[in-house]
Amino acid sequence: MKQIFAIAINCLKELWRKKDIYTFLVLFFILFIFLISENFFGIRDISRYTKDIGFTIALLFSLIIAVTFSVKQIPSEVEFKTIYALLAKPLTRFQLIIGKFLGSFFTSSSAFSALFALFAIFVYIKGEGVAPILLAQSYILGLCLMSVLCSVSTLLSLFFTTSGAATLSFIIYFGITWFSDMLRNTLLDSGGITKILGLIFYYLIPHYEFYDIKIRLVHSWEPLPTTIFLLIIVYSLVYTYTLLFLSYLGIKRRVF
Amino acid sequence: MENYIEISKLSVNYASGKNHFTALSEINLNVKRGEIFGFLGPNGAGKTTTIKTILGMIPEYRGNVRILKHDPRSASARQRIGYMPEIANYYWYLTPNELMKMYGRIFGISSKELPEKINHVLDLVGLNESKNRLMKIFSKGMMQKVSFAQSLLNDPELLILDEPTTGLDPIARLKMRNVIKSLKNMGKTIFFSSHELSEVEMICDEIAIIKKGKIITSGRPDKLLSEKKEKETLESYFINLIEGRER
Amino acid sequence: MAAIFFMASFINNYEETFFLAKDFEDKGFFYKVLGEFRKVLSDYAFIRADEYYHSGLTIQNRLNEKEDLFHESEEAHGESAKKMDYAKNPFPKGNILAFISEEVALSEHMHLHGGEEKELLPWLYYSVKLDPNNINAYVIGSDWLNTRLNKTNEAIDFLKLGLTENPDSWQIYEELGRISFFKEKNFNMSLSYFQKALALQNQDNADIFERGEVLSFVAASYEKLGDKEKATQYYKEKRELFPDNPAVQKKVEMLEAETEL
Repeated sequence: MKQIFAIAINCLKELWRKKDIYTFLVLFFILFIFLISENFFGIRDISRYTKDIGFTIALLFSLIIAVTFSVKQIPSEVEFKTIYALLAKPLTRFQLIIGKFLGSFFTSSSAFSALFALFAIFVYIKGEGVAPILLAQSYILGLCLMSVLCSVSTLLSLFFTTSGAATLSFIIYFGITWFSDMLRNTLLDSGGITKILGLIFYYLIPHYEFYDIKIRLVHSWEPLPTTIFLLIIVYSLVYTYTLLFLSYLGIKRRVF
Repeated sequence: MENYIEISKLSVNYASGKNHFTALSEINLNVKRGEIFGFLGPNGAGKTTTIKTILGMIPEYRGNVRILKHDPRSASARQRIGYMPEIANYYWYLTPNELMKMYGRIFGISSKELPEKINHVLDLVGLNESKNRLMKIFSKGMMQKVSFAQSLLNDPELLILDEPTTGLDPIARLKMRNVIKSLKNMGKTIFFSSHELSEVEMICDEIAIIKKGKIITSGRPDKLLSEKKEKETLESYFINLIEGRER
Repeated sequence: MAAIFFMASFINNYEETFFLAKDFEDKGFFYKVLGEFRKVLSDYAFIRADEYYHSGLTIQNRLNEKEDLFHESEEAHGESAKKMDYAKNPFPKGNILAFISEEVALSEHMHLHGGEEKELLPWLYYSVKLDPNNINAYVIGSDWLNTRLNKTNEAIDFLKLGLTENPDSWQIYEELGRISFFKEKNFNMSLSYFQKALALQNQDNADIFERGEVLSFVAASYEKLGDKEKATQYYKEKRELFPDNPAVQKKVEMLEAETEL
């Protein structure tokens, strides 16, 4: 475990020393100041659109960090030949994959946590607030989302170029988020071999729509039932581990 | 004397689609404990492939390879090995101190022992004053020193150095040679590849010359040179051997 | 793809509608930077306002509502018919992923009320900022301000802002007339607005129902001002559009009877 965490902490240092995160934080801060200072027809305490845009931006920035960091972890080690010094250490390739994934996950999660904290502070300042349980659920589901995103991006980075893997990651994310309903309804209407193939595809894709509880958060709907919430966490863990195992298989026999 | 590196009939093929390339063809190599072994060859001969195989970076090969009596593909084999890569590239956003800490944790060195070990190896290469500076400002020579320092961090029994003096000025090269000799006196085994044949002649106990994936000669340098009728340097012996085989 | 999407907004329109447009210097920030693409964003903001009215539910969420298909409630306001086409049986049991997906998605139908309607104002505001020619946004925004939030002055200001960019909009004049008629009880003012709206309506920008509605308001304004002859005249004009409408016929007869008296 020490080996894995040693690699993971290295990634965190890269995030905070590269200073890209500060750009996001400053942009987010400025945007939020703008949002909460807007005055609409002299009416005070309009807060939902602030929550909506603020949470969307926090998630979007974190998504960008998660994908862009994950897709270059292994490829940049190979490109800059730092992988040789790593592989010459008593480190298995599986530990390398897990370490790199954890690094990306810690990186994107720390960015998400910082942005989410800013979001929560601004929301409470603005007045309407959010039920603590909804806030907790959306934060934890956000972390689960980072986990799945990082694992998908890590796997893609082993088979595509860095930019190709990042593009594919974004396409998969937005495609599934926007079209999951349509896909589900199409499956219901189909039959025979189409349905079987469709179901296989349905089980293979990462279900990003599970993590989308923005409507509940913004419009103060009831929180997710505990069973569903726990099922989503279990799904995230299983899916992440499966993809990481596939990533390990992808580099197990690879000559760098 | 026990062999720290045992290579028997090692063959490595690279496959790219329908194309196959034989990088190593049934090479045999033994490196005894406590000796300095020089591995020479022209560019593309198979030196790096041999080193990668020793370090377990090539998962599939034919033949038998044993490193400190272990299969090189197991992580435990690398616990007692130090490796200095040919290209000294490290994370620009880290300091040498942080890099050593990271590698130290991978080796499983305790947090009590680690600072002392880091100070020792950085002192050895003359980088103690720069240990807390980000490596993005380091010169090539300084990076080479970082590379050498990290290879010594775990106090390895077997040291594998790939072109260790590349990029170093003459004084630094002299220091490097002296360090290598002192490591040998401490009982360490050193396996290194180099194009600096004068240095190899100065410090190596045994050498092997590889060309097109095959070992064409091996033995003690003085013995190999004494077989020639005229007095030769290792460099001229090497050139004649490589070009002579081509005629 | 993004480049093509943006270019589609600009090609052919860019030179003519952008740089050569009248009063280009006076155009706002969004017009200058986004060009025609701002209309897409304006429509998006308008759709978001509708979602906000339904407490964040998209049209798809509402159509997936699990309630009885034949229950027509005030809340459902006519979407039940569409629901009959779209409603799906739940996924077969055992498909855990689809089950989770359905549980995460909201599928109820509700509206904002009790002052919460203010939450959709930002989207309507940005909708008109992005596209000053989005008349629906002005009309609906002012309606919310006036009827639900009791911000009549702000509603009037909003409509007048709309008029500066859309001086030929009969819809905005009609809405101003409604505020004057129902809220301010200023029937002279309402008459003026409704007549303006009537004058701006034509076959291309209004259907017979919209024309009939404005005619009714003109007639009602005259009626409130005590001019029953004029009121009758306009109700008769509406009767010509809807000869089978008993309510209009009854109104005409009633006014004619009062006039004779």
